[in-house]
Amino acid sequence: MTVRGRLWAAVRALLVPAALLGLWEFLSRGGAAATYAFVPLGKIVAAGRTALSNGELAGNLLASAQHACLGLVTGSLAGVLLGACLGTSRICDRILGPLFHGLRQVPLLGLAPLIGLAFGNGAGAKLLVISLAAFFPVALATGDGVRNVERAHLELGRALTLRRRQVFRHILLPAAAPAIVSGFLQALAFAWLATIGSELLFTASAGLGSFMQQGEANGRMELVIVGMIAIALVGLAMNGLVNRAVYRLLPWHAVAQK
Amino acid sequence: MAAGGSRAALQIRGVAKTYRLHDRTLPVLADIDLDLERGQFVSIVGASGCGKSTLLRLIAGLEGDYAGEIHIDGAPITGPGLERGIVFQDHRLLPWLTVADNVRIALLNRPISTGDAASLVREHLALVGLQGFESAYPHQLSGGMAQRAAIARALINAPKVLLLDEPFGALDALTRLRLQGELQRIWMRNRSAMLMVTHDVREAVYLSDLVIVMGGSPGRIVSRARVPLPHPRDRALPALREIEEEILSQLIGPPDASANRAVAAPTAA
Amino acid sequence: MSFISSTTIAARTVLGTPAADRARRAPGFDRWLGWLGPLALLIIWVAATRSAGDGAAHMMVSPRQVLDAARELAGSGDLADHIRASVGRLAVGFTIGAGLGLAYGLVAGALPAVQSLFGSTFHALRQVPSIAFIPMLVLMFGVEETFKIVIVAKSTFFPVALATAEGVRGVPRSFLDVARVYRLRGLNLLRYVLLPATLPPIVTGLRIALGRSWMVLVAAEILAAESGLGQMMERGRQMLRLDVVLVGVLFTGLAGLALERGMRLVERRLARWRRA
Repeated sequence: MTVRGRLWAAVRALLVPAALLGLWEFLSRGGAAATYAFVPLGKIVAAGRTALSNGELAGNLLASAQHACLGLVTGSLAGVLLGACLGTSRICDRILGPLFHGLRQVPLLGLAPLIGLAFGNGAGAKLLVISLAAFFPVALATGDGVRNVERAHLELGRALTLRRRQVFRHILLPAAAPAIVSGFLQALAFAWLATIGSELLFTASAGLGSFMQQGEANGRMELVIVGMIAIALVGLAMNGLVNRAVYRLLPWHAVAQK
Repeated sequence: MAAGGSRAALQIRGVAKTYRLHDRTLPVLADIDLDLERGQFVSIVGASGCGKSTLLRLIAGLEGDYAGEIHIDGAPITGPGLERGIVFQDHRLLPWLTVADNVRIALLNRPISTGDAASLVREHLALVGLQGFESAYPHQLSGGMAQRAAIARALINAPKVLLLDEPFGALDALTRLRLQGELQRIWMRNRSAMLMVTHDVREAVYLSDLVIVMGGSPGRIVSRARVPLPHPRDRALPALREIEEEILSQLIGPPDASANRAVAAPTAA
Repeated sequence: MSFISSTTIAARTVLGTPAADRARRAPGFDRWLGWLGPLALLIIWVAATRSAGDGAAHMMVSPRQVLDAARELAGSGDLADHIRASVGRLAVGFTIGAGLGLAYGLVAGALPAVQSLFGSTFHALRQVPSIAFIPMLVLMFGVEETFKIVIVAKSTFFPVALATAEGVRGVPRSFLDVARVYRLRGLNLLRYVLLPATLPPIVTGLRIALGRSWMVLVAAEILAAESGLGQMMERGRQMLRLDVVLVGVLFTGLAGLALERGMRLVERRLARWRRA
């Protein structure tokens, strides 16, 4: 695209957001009630600047990121283990499979009161929810990936008289890797969602969800909106990272897909 | 062309195989007797479904449950073994490994040092004409090159018998011709016994010392044709064409009379 | 190909590995194994509640207690009220969100100009999970019905719009060419080409949106509501009534399952012409 073309595309993309912001500002001038709901843009910007400078935003962002990462790692590890089990052992699949698929259907956030009651309302409950959110997609993808390893490759392993451990390391795992990675990337999105959700649903500690919750409790819409913008930015960043990761980690797969 | 030693490299006696499908039985092979001498190149030709691939898989140890005996160097086979290399029709290179690593994987269960392994790999890649492609990935290779890598992998353990299951079946005609020449060159350098299954009679006659014709259901050995011509061979040799037509006539009936007339016409003019 | 070859191939595919052989020899046993897991779980649950002391009474709730609680709630009409409230909100919000989503998706899919204008905003707003909208919507609309309906609508809008746009964009050129050759226009074009081609992905989008919105609604009810399954569960949690919470979980799950199955049936009927 030419420079002029790119410029035009940028203008077009910003047109609607600009219009929406204008609408918002207009609505905020409509009186006390309106100002409460549609906080003037100036106030939002000021709140944002304050939150940035006093480290509140950064601190909460980091806390959310920490929760998400911890849950992601625990859930993914458990997921890979169970998925490998389900994919390789028929007995394992037969016994644990129905249970796994049944539990998978239950909406996690709907279980929040249950988990809150059983594990208290604090960090443990949050970690459990986030881990579970990551666990199911990874386990599912791993199971599928392992089960769908091409027969031809497994037969090659037999022809080369490879032992079970060697087959697992050199054939099963690499063959299932694309599936596992895509499951992991899905888990990333779910874990982030579960992080925000669990921060809202359980007692406040640190995190973007709690940040917004406090803003709501104090009737300060501008803080809530700052929180939402931060979440949106993190989401966009994650998307970009994910796309780049796929390209780097799985070169042979990505090229083959082309 | 027995290269000394009275014991054949591969001995097959009275092999028969039946598949059991629920309550039906499907006989696929019956009364197979075959000897493969050391350094000999033998091809098996036959129509689809005559069981020739099944026979190869039995020898490779990838399938069992058969009647009869299969011995290699006098010892009965029990499952797959590195003394029998196999080249499949689809190259089966692992897509996540480089060419060199794909060949090296055949050495996993051999007690040799990494340095020795690396030089063995290089040597065999050079043998099949792939020097310089050690770090390439399979998706970057053409079909012919990938198959050559598969041949290198199958040869690296110096097998007593190299089994080839329609190795060039998935390649285009030109590449097939070229690789046939390559295989002949490799075999002349290497001189391991080769047992190739193919549906291409011309290919079989060009490469082999002995062509086994299989047919019927269950598959049996219908005839054996010796090709007593020295290697390397010229494709244009009329002797090759004669043997080829002889075999073809066994497989698909005598040549069409009208076709003969059409061929004869130009020379008459 | 001779009879032998095709059946040989079939035999090899069917017989496969020794493990598969073993399983095939005893098919009934295999299916029976499937019930082992849930059965074991049930047994452990009952045993745990039996052996637990009084101190853990609020923690350990036996299956019987759950059934009793369910019967109690059903009898008093509370359960029905909660379910009706939740499903009602879902229906209204879903209809609004799906309608808007379809409209936007149709326009955005058909007119690239629209996509280039609204695309970036759409994409950015999509990044914010529906749950994160709750604080803002509560401040705007209070804890009444409006906020829940809005959040269900938001949660429905994006997946439906996306699926619709992709469905419209994905109509193969070849079908449109055939339509042009036979001079299909307007209503006929819609009926014979566009609708059947785009309906399957749209219905899939609707199914996904429905499932997601149900979850979001229950979460919203947990946080701020006067009635509904989510609120019932939250109150149960506050009163330390695990049995009530479990009844809520059970019905939430059942409703979600019913909704999903229902949508899948619709999907399958509409997509009968598709290859499996």
